This record gives sequence, C-alpha cells and structure tokens, in this order.
Amino acid sequence: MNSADQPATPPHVPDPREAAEVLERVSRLAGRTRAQGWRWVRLYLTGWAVASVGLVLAIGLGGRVGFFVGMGAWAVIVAVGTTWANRQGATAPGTARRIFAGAITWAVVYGVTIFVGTTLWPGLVTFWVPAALVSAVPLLLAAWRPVPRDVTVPA
Amino acid sequence: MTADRPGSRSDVEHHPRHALDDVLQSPVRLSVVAALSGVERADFTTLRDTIEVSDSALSKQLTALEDAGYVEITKDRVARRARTRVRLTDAGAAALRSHLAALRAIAELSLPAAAD
Repeated sequence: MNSADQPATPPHVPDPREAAEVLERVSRLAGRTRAQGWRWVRLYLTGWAVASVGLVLAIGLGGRVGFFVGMGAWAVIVAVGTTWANRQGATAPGTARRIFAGAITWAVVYGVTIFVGTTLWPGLVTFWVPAALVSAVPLLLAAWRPVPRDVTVPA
Repeated sequence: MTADRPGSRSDVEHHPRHALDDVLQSPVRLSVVAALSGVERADFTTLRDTIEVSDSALSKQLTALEDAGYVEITKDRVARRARTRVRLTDAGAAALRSHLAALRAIAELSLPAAAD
C-alpha cells in the first residue's frame, strides 16, 4: 500500500473548495473513459457501414468478379475490425447490446437487399446505389444514437 | 436546544465528512473508481494512462480496491498478450455515490457565504 494513501493519522478532510475540486476531477475522469469507450464503438460501426455500402455495390454492380472481390474484402475487413475492437481498452455501458442490435438489423436489411436485387434488378444502378446506402442505415443509427446518461457521476 | 448550536456534539456528528468513504479517501483509488464509473470495464493500460500513475502504484491501489470489494479484476489474452481488465462492482458504485454525495455536501457548506 502506498504510504501516501495510508497515513497513520486520520485521513485529510477536504474543505469546501477542495471538495469541489475533487468532484470536478471525478467528473472529468468518468467522462474521459466514457468518451473513450463510445468513440471506438462509433468508429467501428461507422466503418462497418461504409464497408457495407462497398459490399452491396460490388455484389450488385460488379457481377461474378464483384461478388468474389467484395466477399474477399469483406472477410478481411471483418477480421481486422473484430481484432481491433477486441483490443480497445474501455467498454462503454451497453456496447455489446448496441453492436448486436446494429448487426442483426443490418443482416436483415442486407439479406433482403441482396435477395431482391439479385432476383429482380441485377446490375441496375438506380436500385443498387440507394440499396447500398440503405444497408448502412442500421449501423449508422446504432453508431450515432445518443448514449445513455451516466447516473453514477453525472457530468 | 443546546444540541443544535453550531459546534455542538450533534453538529460535529452530522458533518458530511463522516459519510466520506475511508477506502476512497485515497486520491488514486478515488480516481480509479471514478474512471471505472463511466464504463462497463477498462483495461489496466487505459486506467494507467487516464489517471496518469505508474504501473506499480496502480497495481497496489487496484489490489486494495479489490480487497474492499469495490472492483473485480479479470485477466485474459488478446493476440497472445496478457490483459488485465477491471470492472466496478455494485458495492464500489454504491460507495462512490455515497462518497460523492458527502463531497457535494462539504462543497455546499460554503454556498451561503458565497451567496452573500
């Protein structure tokens, strides 16, 4: 135990000014880790959304070559993204729930888009460009939906 | 009622300093708990960089907080590297809330004078 933190005499009682300074520091520290935790989630989901636009366009407009190139690039992006996410040092409250909700919704939109597009309008730019943008919406909503308020240390 | 006079025994016992948490009187331990209050969990490196303390100082204070039941420490591996992750327990969150309430009460002791 650090001797500075375990004095033999009774602990120092802060005066009102010191107490206010401690409260400010506590709020700043809580906010810093919290912001760090949310920053990477937003970046991760936004990156996934951008990759989704590319994947849908590659599948819809690139033919067989586009399909294989798109799926190959997708596999690499997923592997790199998952490794990067696992290395993040701070996890904000509700991160797993937010990513899961975004992923499930994206999977449904993506699946419907690919099925409908490849069945009815293969190679049709006026379908695939809007469809690619729509596929990014669930992930962008998950990324940028307001974060819950901190109840322990309100800012 | 003499018991209600300023400086009386009752007044002393009701001073908000009595509600301060002994474990969280340490600036480093309070900083750790504060940093953890904003997240589900954080790793050792993030805590060290956020609080700006040495590895050994943080390690000692984490052990003290774990002994008090305020944090839960787990170890895992990421890409063959060991990682220590720390989570604030319910008891730790409750202690922090109580400690902060006491600090707010102390801070507000100066408000009447400031209002004048």
